Amino acid sequence: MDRPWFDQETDVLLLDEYTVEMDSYKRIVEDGNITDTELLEQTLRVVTLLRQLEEALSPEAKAIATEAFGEMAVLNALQALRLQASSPLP
Amino acid sequence: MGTFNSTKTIPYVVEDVAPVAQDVMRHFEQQDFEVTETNIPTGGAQVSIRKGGTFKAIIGMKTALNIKIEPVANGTTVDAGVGIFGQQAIPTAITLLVFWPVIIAQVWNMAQESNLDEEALRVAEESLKAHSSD
Repeated sequence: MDRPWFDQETDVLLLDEYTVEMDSYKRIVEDGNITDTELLEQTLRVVTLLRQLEEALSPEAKAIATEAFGEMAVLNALQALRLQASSPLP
Repeated sequence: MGTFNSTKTIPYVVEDVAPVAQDVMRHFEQQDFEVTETNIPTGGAQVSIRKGGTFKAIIGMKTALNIKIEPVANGTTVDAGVGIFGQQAIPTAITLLVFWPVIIAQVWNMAQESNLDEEALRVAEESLKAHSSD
């Protein structure tokens, strides 16, 4: 499905809106309990999609996607470190 | 100034911040902003303002400029930052999402382009001066 990544009016990123509609996300927030199986299944889902994407992308698009995933990972690490820093020690 | 907020400690002391919060609310209400007030446990008040176009809803929750007015030892601190309308903390459902810092930054940029943070600090400062016992 071809859905825009950015809101045309405000330019705000819409990807999170799509995330909360996904069954995999709904399952996690419903019970708040993450089992090993759920984590493994999600890992496999991501790997499968990345393989599909790698095959589908042109070399130019793949280079952009690789950089985008890398920067997203950096953002994720920043968030994790910030949360860690602001959390009280157990 | 924080990452996505503007803060100023104003050297005026008021017995009750409620009238200041009311002034800030009234100021933005007159400009057709949706406004609401919540109490802060430390004795302060938070005013949330929002208007379509600048403040987008994220996963069904309304983003807003939250203006916190809190008494401190040497005056009153006013903090204007992006948050959720009528809520003092960003809900966990949002912080779980990978891109929420991006969205908060985008909304903050829009608020800053409209000088809303500076306007909020200025209005609060004027009101604090007017209500101050000093």
